[in-house]
Amino acid sequence: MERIKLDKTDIKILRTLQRDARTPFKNIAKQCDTSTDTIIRRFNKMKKMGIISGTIILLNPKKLGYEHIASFSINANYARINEVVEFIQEIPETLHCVQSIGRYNVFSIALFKDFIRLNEVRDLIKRHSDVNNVSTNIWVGEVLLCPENFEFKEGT
Amino acid sequence: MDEIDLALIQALKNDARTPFRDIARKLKVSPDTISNRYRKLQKNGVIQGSTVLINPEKIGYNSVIILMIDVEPEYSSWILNELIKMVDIIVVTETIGDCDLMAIGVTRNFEHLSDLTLRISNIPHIKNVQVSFLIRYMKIYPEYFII
Repeated sequence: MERIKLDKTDIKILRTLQRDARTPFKNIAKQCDTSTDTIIRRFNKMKKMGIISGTIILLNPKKLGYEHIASFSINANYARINEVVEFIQEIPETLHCVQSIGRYNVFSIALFKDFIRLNEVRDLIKRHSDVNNVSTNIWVGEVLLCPENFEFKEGT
Repeated sequence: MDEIDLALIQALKNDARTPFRDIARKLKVSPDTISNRYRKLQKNGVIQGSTVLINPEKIGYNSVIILMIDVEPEYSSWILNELIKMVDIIVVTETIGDCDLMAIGVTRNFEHLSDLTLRISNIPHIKNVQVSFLIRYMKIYPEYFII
């Protein structure tokens, strides 16, 4: 795995954008005592190198009609894991589905408008011929998100 | 919310830095309209913020892990807050299902993972921790999250 070196300016860009991705580059430049062009260049370079894969807004699913967030930890027939992952990815409510190692070998997160649909999807997954076992966890209360907990070591 | 709000959200979902000016032009409204709508969506809690998507692999992390944690119920909130303070833990939530809390973290190597799970197990009132590794990462931050 290639190690990419980040300096103080790169880290400042990442930390600032983690908190607010719409921060004007001009403001970051001022804080770094450098030119706006430098910040733009560094940002684009990090995108090109794949360190940054994009910027997104964070939305509250409840305000958009999604009552429930749930994750499914699934035990599937190992030989058919890719098929199971693809099957779950096709379900419109699925946000993400990936393979995993541990007690379960597939992990997925989904958003549901109501509990009925949650049950339907859970059933759909359980009834798949290559699924052995499904553990459903409904995310309740506040989901605490702390992007700043990513640690960047200077020169790493 | 009307079509303008929805179109605004759609444009920003793909690139949070899209200039309001460009969105306004596309929707044939004034830039002020867009910036007012954005402010309103923030005020109403629809938009919780924005962030940059970082690829953990590129900055020295080799695994994304899922932790399923059982706790003594009265301490659930307190443990939630202890966990999110920990470096390398990105998301925590209470759950109903096969465990009490779930957390998503990132680790650099097995030693780091070992250290992290040990630190978590040492938090008082935690009964059990189960760890899974994710293969072929998902994005660390799905678009939808309550902060």
